[in-house]
Amino acid sequence: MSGRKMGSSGISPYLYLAPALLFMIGIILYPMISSVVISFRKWNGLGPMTPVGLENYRRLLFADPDFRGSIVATFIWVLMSVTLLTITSMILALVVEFGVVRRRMIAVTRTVLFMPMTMSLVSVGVLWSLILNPLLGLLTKVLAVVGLISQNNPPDLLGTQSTALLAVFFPVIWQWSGFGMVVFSSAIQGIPEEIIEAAKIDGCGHWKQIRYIALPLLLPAVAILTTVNCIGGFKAFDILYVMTAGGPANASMVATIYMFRQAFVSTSFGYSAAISVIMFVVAAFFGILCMRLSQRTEKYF
Amino acid sequence: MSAAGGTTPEMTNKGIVGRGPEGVRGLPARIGFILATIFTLALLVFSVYPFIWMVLNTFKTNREIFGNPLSLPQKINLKILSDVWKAGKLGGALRNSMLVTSISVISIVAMASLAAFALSHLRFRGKTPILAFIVGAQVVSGQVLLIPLFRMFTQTNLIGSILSVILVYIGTGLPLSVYLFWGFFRGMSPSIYESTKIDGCPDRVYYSRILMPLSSPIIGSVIVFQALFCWTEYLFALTFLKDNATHTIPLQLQVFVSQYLTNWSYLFGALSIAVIPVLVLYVFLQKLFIRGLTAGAIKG
Repeated sequence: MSGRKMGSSGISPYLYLAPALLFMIGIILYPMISSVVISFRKWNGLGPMTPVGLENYRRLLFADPDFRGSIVATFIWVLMSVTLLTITSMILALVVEFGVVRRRMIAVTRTVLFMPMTMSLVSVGVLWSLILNPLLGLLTKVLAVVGLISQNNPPDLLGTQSTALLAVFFPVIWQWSGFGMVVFSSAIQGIPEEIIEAAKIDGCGHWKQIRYIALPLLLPAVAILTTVNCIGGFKAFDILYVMTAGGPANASMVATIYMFRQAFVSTSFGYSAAISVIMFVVAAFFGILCMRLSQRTEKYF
Repeated sequence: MSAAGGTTPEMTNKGIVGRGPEGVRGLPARIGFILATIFTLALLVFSVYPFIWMVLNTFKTNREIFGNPLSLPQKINLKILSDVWKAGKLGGALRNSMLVTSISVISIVAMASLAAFALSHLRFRGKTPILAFIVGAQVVSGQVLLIPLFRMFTQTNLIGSILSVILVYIGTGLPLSVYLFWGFFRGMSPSIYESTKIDGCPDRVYYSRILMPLSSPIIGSVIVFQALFCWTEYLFALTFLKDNATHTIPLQLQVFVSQYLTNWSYLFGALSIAVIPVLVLYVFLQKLFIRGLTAGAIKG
């Protein structure tokens, strides 16, 4: 970076960068720092702020069972995102790449399976609230026809504490599996033809091809998807807020919803900022952990 | 499926292998093929039927909705759509969403490509920390910014105005966009830039006449990704836009649902209106959509 060679242009690089940098500083960097500052304050959103030192953090970590509950819900949610969603994505990709026979059908299948990704999480939430609605819901109708539940006394999956979180996650699987499928599909297409050919000559059946060639070579894609799903899992808000708003009885109250409620329902903005800071640190920790692991798998292959 | 794209019946039972003509023949393969086909069809139904159910129920009476979910509506009355449109004030929401999305996306593409041009083509001090900041900023979630931004907009009286969400969408959309442009620009041959430089072509001319016209793939990806983000964003819109007149589509849909809680066909109608336009766009531009939506994951 001597700045003397051809291409060095004095002040002009900074002029090209200025608009983007100013926006990122104003909308990301400054608010982040400000968030940390507010987390050491007590503030009702309107009046002046009073410094309270570590009080917010002390209360959060040692004296708030609701926060503890929301952390548990968040981790269940992240765990489901990382495991279930990755598995369903891989199943879709394997089905499309190895199970669909006609070439033209591959494109159609992929298009259809990706289709839910075009919806907003709010639309998905509203649609699936209706599907899971025990009175008119598609799901109860289907389950009743199959005979898994009785038509007269259909279960309210969203309104039951033990099933609420899973019931909200189901639409996420419906929507986001198509996304993971594309990631896996491009990894499968990247597998060199020769390897498959060699395996076939050695007498590998399709199942063995999937088991011993495709799956191991897909590990880097698994790593990418795990990272994306992990970070996304910590951020989840929209669909939970639309479908259950954290209920019933806090059963689906993840940390993001708890944080939102502390600020805009209980007007404890300082406390809420402390939650967001803790959750940011936790999410960054696990996000970086996932990235590290994925770099290791890439090196391994 | 690159070796043979045959559709003749005798080739189908090789297809399950996925690649090449060396398929295993015989009964197990046939059964496997049938099972795979059934499974694929089941997945397709699972993926599509919610959409069909949504559209069908828009035109059903309450009694029909509670009845057989597979039945067709007795008559298609398109008036319900215009009723929903008026009752939900969806026109205003549509206008707001279009305004927010277009301004944000145009600004993002312009600013991100300019910044990425400097980062990939020019030499200057401080490049490494700026790049590190751009990579790091991608991990920042909206929640941690929410309260300070709420405070900032309250103090500047921007709260409740659609300018507030536009500013936020631009700011939060930039890191990934700069990163994507930067990756693309770096992959371009430096010799083009160097020869134009020798010919005395100024940087801004190179950027607008050569670089950007050659970058349509990445511009497309960034537009799709950011436009869908702006079109569907909920958390910031919910927090900053309190007035019905400024609501974007997701917010207005949510308001509509809470108002017409048991007017089922209205709910399905509003949902259809919110979902179908993007879906139609997707059918025509599916490759662009898939590439754009997965750009971040595959590059990152």
